[in-house]
Amino acid sequence: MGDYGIKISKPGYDIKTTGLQNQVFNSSANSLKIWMTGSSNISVAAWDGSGSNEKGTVDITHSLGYAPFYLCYFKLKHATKLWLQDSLDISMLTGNYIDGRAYSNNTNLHCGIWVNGNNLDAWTATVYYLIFIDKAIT
Amino acid sequence: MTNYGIKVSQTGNDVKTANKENLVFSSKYDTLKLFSNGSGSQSVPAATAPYGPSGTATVEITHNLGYTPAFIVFCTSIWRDSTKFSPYAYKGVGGISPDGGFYAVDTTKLYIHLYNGDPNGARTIYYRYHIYYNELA
Repeated sequence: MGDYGIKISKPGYDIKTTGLQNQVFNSSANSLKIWMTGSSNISVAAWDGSGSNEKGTVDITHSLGYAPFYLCYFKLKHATKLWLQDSLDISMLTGNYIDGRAYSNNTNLHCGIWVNGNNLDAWTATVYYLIFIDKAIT
Repeated sequence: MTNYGIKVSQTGNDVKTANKENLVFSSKYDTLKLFSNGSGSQSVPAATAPYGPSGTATVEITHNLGYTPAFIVFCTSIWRDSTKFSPYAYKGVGGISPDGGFYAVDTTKLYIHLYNGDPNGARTIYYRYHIYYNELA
């Protein structure tokens, strides 16, 4: 059995001759597989000018046993938009800032809200996440 | 019907016994499905002073999906040449003088907010984006 599998090309491309970049799916090439998705609220403490700038966190348990690839988006204090991880809420670019940051480890996806600035009261952020089966490191 | 679907294992793994980490594909698990992608460039005005505030411009990509979709954006920075792309930006001290891009999405558009911390003139920043069908919920 020398050549077998499944491949699907994009419209307009001949599946018999086109390269992988023009294929929707090819069973010889790994696909990112979503393990879990969801959202979680994060209680953010009022800014007091001391300690860490990470004022609210949540750990999402994934049970994979290794650090997985992931994507995170955050609903921050001043916007209805969802911001990609590490994007600053641009309404705050005046010396103050808010952004959502994240990392994965063997057990959790750790999500945190980082703030800097005066007159920031306590509030609630939300993180939306996709955690993949695929390892962030091999 | 209790157990059905399609799965494909990686080379060297028996698909009947392979762990999920050793599968190329399994219909048991969702995947990112590309809705649209594109690229472009945008001239961003100069910063008003050294160390900020940065000049800024926004590119809006309409998707009209009616929900907030997953996405990823990569862009250049004035500190890198136009062949080097990253999803992350230099944020500057206190967020005053960022360079690169910050990205957000709502139910109708993807927003690519671009920043130029150079006070000596407008700079062109290049971007590439993927918007996926996958809903953030």
